Amino acid sequence: MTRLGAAPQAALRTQFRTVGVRLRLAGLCFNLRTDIPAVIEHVLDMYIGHEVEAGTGINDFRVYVSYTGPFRRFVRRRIQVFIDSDTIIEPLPLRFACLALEAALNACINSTASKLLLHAAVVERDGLAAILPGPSGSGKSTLCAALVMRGWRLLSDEHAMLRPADGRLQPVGRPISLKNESIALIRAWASDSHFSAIFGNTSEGTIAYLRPPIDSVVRTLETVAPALIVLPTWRVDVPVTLEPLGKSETFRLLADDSMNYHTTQRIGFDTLAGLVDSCATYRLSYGPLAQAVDAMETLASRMRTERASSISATATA
Amino acid sequence: MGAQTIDFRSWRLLQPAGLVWRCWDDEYIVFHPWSGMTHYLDAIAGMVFELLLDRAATVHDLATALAALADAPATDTLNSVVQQVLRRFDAIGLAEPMP
Repeated sequence: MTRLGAAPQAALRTQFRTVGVRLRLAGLCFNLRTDIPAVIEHVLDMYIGHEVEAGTGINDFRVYVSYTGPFRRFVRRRIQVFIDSDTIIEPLPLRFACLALEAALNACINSTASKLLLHAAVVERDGLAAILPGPSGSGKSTLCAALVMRGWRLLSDEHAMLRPADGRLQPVGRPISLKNESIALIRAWASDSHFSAIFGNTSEGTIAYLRPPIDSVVRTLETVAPALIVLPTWRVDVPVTLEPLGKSETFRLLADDSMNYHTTQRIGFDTLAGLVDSCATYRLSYGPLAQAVDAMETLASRMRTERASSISATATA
Repeated sequence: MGAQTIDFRSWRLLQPAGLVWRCWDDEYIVFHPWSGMTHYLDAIAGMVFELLLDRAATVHDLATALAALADAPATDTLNSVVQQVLRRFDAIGLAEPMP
């Protein structure tokens, strides 16, 4: 397999317009087809480290972003998105085409029945994986991006994918969606950050995507055991506070905000309960981003030390 | 409000072998496989659930056991609370009065 950035770009552009490009994401194969130049360039730029599969084979999803009709590429340009031939995103102005693609990819991942899906960012460093749950606007993606740009591995900024068989987290490794003030904040935080085009005047304000570090993308087959759940809440000018979060409350928050907990029945309960049992759980309120990152680093460092001591004590017992 | 009818029936959990639960922070989270629902039980409902896991019991038995756990008298108010918990359990298919 070849990475998107290493494949001949001109040939890929043709392939997007004709048979589609087969991209591997979150352990799934997506056939992406589009004749919209902005979408092609967005994928080539944001998914540069992802693997492409040659030829034909099993596609888990076929995603097609197209103009709504033969003349819509010229006049009052509008787009629509199909997943496996069904229209899932109704006609939108052309300027929303890249957002529509990302939303379609989210919809595909949300329909994956073999994993428990939580609405959360996931990062990992030195074997310690932290799940950052929270709704849009809670500050989870901003904190996730800041940690990733300080060397944490990105698993996902949107989906914590838990394997029921062993409770391990499946990396997704897609671009991080940032909104409004967070875009400038992360640009200032990391001078080497690479952003997509900026999409203004959406229902959620201004949106831009941060390209995931290549190391995170290359390691998308490396699952990891979760160790920490931190519920972030961002508020202007609030000093950082980190306090324990009850297990019962954690379970309820994660279940309520899960994409498929209520359809996964007993497997979902066992997987989620096992997650909450195995993780330390905290609530993090923060204003300045640097304080939040410091708090996460300190907590993770303490947990690694405790883990090492525990292993050492077991070995010498 | 009229006088509350005293419930002398014994109550039992419905198919307890199929239930799965966790208890954290004095709150029980119970998954009910037949309805597919997850129920969040507060401290008192959780203790009633735990007592019924052991054996079938009447409202009076349960209120007495709860009072003993809390080192407090089994008042009419406590009986009434237990009765409400059992009615709720009945409504969600978690427990039933024995014939």
